[in-house]
Amino acid sequence: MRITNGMLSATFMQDLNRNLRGLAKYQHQLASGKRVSRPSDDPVAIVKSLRLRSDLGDIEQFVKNADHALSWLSTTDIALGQAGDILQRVNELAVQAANGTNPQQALDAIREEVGQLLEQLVQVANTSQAGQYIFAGTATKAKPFSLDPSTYTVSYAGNEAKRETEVGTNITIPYNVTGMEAFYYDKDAGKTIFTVVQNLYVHLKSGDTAAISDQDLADLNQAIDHLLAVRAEVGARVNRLELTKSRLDDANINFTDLLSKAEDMDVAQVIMELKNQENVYRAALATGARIIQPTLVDFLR
Amino acid sequence: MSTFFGIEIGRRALMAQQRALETTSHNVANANTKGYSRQEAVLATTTPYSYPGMGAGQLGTGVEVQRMRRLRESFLDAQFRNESKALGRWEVRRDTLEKLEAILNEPGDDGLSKLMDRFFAAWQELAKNPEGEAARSVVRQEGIALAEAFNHLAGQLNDLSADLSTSVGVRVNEVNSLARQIRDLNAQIVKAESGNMAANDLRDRRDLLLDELAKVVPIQVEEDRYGAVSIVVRDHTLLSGQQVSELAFNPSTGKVTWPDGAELTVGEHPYGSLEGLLEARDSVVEDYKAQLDELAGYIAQAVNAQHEAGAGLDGSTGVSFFTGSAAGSLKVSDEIMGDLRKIAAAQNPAGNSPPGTVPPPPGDGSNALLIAQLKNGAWVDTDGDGTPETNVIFSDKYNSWVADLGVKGQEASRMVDNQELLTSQLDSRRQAVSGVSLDEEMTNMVRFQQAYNAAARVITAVDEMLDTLISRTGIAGR
Repeated sequence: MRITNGMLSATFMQDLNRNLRGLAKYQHQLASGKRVSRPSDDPVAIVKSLRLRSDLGDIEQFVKNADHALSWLSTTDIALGQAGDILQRVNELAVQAANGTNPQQALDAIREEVGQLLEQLVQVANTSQAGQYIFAGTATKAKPFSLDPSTYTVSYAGNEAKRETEVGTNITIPYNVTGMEAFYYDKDAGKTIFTVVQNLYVHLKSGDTAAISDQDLADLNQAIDHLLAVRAEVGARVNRLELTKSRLDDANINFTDLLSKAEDMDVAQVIMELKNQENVYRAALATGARIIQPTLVDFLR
Repeated sequence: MSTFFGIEIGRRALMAQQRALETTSHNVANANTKGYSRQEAVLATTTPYSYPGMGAGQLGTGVEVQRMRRLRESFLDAQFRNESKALGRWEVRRDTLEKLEAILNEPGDDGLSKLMDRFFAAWQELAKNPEGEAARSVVRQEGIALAEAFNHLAGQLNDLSADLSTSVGVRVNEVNSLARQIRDLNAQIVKAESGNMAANDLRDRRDLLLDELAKVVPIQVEEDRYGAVSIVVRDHTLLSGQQVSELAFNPSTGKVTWPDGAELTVGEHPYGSLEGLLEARDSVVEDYKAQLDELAGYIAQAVNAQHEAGAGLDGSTGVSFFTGSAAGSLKVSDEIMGDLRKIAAAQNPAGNSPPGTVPPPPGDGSNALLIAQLKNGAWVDTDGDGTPETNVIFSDKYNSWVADLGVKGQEASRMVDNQELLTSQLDSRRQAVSGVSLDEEMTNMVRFQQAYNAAARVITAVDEMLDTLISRTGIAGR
């Protein structure tokens, strides 16, 4: 085959260009830190990376949701604890009052305190977080419990709806306890922790110590048990959320790792390849400088 | 046999070597001319002289330049053009796909996939805080961002389509202009060659134009016995004799037609950059536009259906979140733009008819949660009969689209590399035959120069011989 000067320079330019392209590719990978930056670099890796990015976004959202639910539940737990403490105090007072030897004056003093405690109980039941009344179901903008100061009856304005949030793909978890659930220990009989206290209040007023020892003490115990049961339920939900959260954290680490594998480059490898490419490029330039220049023209007189 | 015959032979030799040297000079001068084929002065002996009775046979009469030969292999030309038509198409396809990749901007932090994620995440937040305006306004903002991203993408795809259409027009002009130039060269070549003179340089120019044309449209070239070429493009004659059938481009319809009204369409195997452009515009970009519209339509449909079923803070129901069903026209509806409370985060409460009679509890975010969950799969109406029947995961749909683009882009750039390698190999084979080698020309130069010098010496020798004969022989006549 004849080799002409034009062929030499054309081939040289082509090879040089190819080398330069290689250099540019590795340079871009090193500068961006990514092995793939366009879908055509590696379609499979790109799809994986899109999927993983989306999954990571989901996980981040689920963690936020779980945190939101946890903070609700812990507020709920605190409120239920306070309500329990109040009922405990009411119970002590009731035991004290049940003793038939108390004069009416003493009963009045106890009644005074019971009245205060009832108000406090309503306040606890109206606990709010970030402007949302937590025991109101979904009617979160208005105080769910109100106390009629004349009769000391308490009415509920909330509803029984659940607030739910998503903590895993299509896994939702309710995170509120409605006022009904929390404070109505015998819904059919209309018995609430408020009616217990209200009854006690009424019996104290009328000095009906028999009713106190016969009925109110039993009701109080029932109410306290009920609150404990609700707290246990809240605790179980907190546990479940904590577990979910730690699973999400694990998934986050795994997915981040996978994402990095899909789209990040191996620095050592890329630098090695860059070095190789550089050597080839230098060699190409050196041979080019030798071959392209001289022809017979240079050697004729 | 003349006394001066030796001088005549010498003269012929001088002339022939001089012609050969001129050819060398022409070759050296055109060493870097594109499309130039080296030429060679073919030297041959002149007709010998039979001298009866001499017994020594025929007497040589010297040398002449028989013809100027152009060293070129037309078979390689055909091969080269055959490969470059594929190169023309793949180059256009690769460029188009690269532009599409740039338009999609994936993987990135502001690509469509990120915006879809953020849109649905905003609904998750709203589900937790449906009472206030803050979460509602975030949902609206993310909705606007998503709609604008779709609008922007659709706009960019339209721009790309328009750019491709403009390029089609440019290519059509190029084809016509090349055909006209080739026609003019045809005429010159036929005229020159009818006088039995090889029109080497004109042929080089014509071959170069044919090379250029072959990259734009798939051509079949036929040369008649007078030296004129005719060109056929996909069963249509582009050039025949002096007749050029010019292609016409209609900028408003974007169609390319032959003079007889037939449209230049893209078949199963497009070749050349013109068909490549038509393919890119009418099939590649159009395909992605349709897919983008489909995705936008599905999102709007699914979100709207769920949104209309829910109730806003004020008890309004049946409000669409998005309007428009194509990527270009998608936007957040005027009702939502006008009133944040119309965002239906809550379920439609019982007895809320007419809407607004029973507003939902403000803390009800259950419908927002359902909308957020559409991310994991939404039932949409894919066959247009009004009832949803396919469960579509938007991100999967989008991802498969990106993957498809990636695979096609990868293929196109690999094919361009292959075709470049093939054409450059074929070109180097052509160059091996036709290229000017300076070493060779220098060698020839020395050769012809020496032959010229020697011929001159022969003339000197004959001259001296005659001088002896005329001036020094005898004294008669002095």
